[in-house]
Amino acid sequence: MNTQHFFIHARKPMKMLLLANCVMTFIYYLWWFDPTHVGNMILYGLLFFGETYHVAMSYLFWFTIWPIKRKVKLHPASFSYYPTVDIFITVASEPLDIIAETARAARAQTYAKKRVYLLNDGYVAKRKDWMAVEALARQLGISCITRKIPGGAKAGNINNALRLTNGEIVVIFDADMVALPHFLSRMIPYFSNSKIAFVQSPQYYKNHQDNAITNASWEQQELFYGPIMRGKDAYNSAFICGTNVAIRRSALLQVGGMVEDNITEDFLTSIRIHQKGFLSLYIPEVLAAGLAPEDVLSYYKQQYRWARGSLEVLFGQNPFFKKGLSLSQKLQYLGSALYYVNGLVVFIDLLMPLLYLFFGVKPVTSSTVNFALYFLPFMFLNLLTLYLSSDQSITFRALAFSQSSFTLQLSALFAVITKRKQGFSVTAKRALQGDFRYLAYPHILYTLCAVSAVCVAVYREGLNPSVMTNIAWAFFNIFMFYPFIKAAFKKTASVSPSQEKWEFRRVVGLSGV
Amino acid sequence: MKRFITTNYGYLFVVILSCLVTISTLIFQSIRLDEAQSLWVATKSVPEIFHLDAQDVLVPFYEVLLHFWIQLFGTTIAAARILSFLFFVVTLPFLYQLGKEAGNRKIAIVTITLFSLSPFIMWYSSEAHMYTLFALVTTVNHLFFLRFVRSHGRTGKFGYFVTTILGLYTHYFFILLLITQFAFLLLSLLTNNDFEMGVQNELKTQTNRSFHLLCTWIAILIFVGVCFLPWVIYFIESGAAANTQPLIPPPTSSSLFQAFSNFLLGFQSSTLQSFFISLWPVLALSLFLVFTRNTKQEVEYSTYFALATFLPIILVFLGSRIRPIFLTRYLILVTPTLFFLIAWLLAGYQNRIARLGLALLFCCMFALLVYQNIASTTPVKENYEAVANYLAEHATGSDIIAVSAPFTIYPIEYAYSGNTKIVTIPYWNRLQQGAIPKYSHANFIQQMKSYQTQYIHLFVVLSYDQGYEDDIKKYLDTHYKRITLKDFSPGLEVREYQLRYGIITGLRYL
Repeated sequence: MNTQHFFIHARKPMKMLLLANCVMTFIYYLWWFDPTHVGNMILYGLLFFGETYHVAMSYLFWFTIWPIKRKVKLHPASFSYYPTVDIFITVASEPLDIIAETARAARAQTYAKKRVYLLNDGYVAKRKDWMAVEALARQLGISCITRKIPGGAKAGNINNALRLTNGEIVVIFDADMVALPHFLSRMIPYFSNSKIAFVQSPQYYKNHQDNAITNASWEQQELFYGPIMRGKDAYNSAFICGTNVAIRRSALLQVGGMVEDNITEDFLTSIRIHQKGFLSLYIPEVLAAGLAPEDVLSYYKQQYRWARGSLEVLFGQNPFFKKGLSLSQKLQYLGSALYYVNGLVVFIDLLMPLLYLFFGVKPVTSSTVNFALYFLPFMFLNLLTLYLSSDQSITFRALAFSQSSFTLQLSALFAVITKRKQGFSVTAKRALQGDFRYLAYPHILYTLCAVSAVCVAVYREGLNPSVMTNIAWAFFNIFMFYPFIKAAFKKTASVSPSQEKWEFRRVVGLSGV
Repeated sequence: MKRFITTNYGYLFVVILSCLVTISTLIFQSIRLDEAQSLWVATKSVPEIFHLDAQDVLVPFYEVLLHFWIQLFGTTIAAARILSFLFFVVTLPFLYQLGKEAGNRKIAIVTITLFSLSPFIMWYSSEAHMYTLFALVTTVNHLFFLRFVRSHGRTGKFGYFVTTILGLYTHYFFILLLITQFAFLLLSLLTNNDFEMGVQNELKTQTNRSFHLLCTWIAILIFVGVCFLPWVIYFIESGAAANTQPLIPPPTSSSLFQAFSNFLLGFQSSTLQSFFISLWPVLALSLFLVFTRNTKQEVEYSTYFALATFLPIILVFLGSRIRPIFLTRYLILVTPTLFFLIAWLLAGYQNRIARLGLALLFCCMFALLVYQNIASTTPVKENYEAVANYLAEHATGSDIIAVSAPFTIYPIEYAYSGNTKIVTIPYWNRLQQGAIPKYSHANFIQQMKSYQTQYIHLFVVLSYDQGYEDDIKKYLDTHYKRITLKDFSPGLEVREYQLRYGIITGLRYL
């Protein structure tokens, strides 16, 4: 009866922990409603906004991981169900050897009724070597669909292929996603239930141990594809993640194909499919492995794309107001879209100690110890829940990278608000060579500002408790930035093939299936 | 043993160094209130010890042990303190065993090092009072309780039974540990019946086991209750310690932080303490590090350790809303598990930063241990010896010494060697009247007036404000001429007043 035994396999202890979280968070949130705590009105308002966001996101997370049995019952999968399958491998500018490996794995599927297509976007991407993909397809004995009319980025590429193919099920792989031979045999039987529109499996990074960036990327994915997607699945809210997904063609066509007017086409398409009353399924089992971004710039671009897409959905097509979705589905989609507002909240939190240390402006009047009495239990329970629900796999690096991503999230938010045009850029499959230290300049600038602010505050007030607490907060922020700064300053090493081994670290236990 | 010493010489060195500091403290520091009280009680016969303890908020186990100890080694304060130090030393192997059985050797070693470096623990290791005995009994009780749980009630029963009785006879707060253990067993039972599919059969057995365990535990507790009942009856019959409880201020939010700051960093001046407490965001950061460890050190029953550390504190904090009982030293029972938890969390990190962090923590704790023992601003310091020397030098047979609070008469009496009469405010005859009488302003005025005709000077020794210190000061300052006012340690002062002018004094003023 150790902790793991307690919380991972048991529903009741997890429920008790989540209830304790709810109560503690409510008590913590009430603290913010005490008017006697208000110092500088504007700063208090900003902090209040930030804490409201934190509290809301916490409740949404607990709602997601609340251990329920699947609300929408599924019929058992029928292994006699045997539809035709089209495998789409979306290709834009990836190295040929990577595409070839993915194509070979698709071809080697044990499932017989399949056709493999390379969806070549090289021509519309104006790549000189676009014909090499066609040659590769010929060499491997698979089909190649080269799009000649641009538009819609990856979604446009898939929609183009949808028009030219006719398999009952469509399976989408990114160019680097190498599937295990039983990928189709594992996924397709679920479609015997005619209400199932898509089945998603995790996006595993086989290069996750190569460097700090790949590590951080995978560690963040691990949380998403672990408790979060498992939870979403229970509410019939798992969404298409762009790759490693099987989709029923008829369902996809009913919503007009993949959504082309958003760079997170998969997210919006999922919403539309769920609006039509279809069911979705998430299989928490690694069935294909790809490549994580290997350098800071690729990581930045990938995260930026996700942030931009999600924020566009939030501000332009808010899922909460979509008809046809259940309340839990609305909340689940809203939670996912809201995640990228975090950058703004982090920015507010970063400013507060600096403002106090430089100018002595206090957002709150209460003693910091009084605040800590409410804040620390809230924080403790939150982290404990995250730790236990992620099967103790959450890492400091993953959290630190999320925190350090505030720059790209702010940038995405600004782009969405100003409606700046943005093209779809594919995540690089090889480490980009170059100097990406500039991506950490905001974090370094913050560090320098904090050091100066400490000098100013100590000169002005000495080491009194308020100054010490704000110094500690500034230190907290700098410490959280450290892994990102370190990664940005580290030269990316090119990966040798021997390092690219499949290490399926875990197969997350099936839940709610 | 040899291998243990050679592989852990660094830790051993730290422990020995810390012990040396404590030994120097126990030899050279002034007697404190609690010590004097314990020594005074321990010099009586065993039935008298029972009688005196029952009138106070004490249980008699420690005083009985001290009674026999001083028969062998004398009544000097250093000799009495060595007994407490021995309890501390004996705790170490048990704590090590607990750490090893619940975690591993590394956790066990870090636990005992933290325990030995804690200025809080070391303070009470050099105090002739029951606190280190309380920590020892608690540690052994944890060990037997975990053996009892792990073996599903087959082993550890007798050891648990004995240590529970001893614990209850050492300090009333031991009940908090029993509440924690009950909570843990109940939680185990409640959380065993709703597991995911696939492990139902195994867990059905486990639910039965948990139920059986809880029943066995309750049965043991019934026997413990039978053994403790005579004392409860005796205590109630003796007046249930009316008016003898020291006045404790109700705890605030900072009391909780102070408690943890005390456990880790000892009793420091208010400035230093505020400095450390204001660094609490670092604690928030450490929570991030704690819950994102790459290296997992499996610990059995971590829930129990967490409960045993935090639940007593929460209960006392909440209980203090009804009647203030929140004193850090009463909560010494949480320290073995607290240090175990810290060791567990730190031991999870293998890299350089973790080692550096641990080394920094050790250095910081050691530096604060030394500072606590030498600084005059240490809030728990009670320099009654200096007071006694001052009185011996200045008070004569025609003067009178009055101490308040009344129970502070013990250390004054112990250290004072002069011939001036010593009384208490309010007046208290320990052997005839029993419990301390309640303070009344009218009685106090009457008491002072009676001295006016008999004595020339009044030396008032004030410490441990019980809520009427200001009243005493105000009355004396407005009715008598104050000659001197001298501070000896935080909260301990002597005031000298002129009650009347005698022949010699009159000549002095001529």
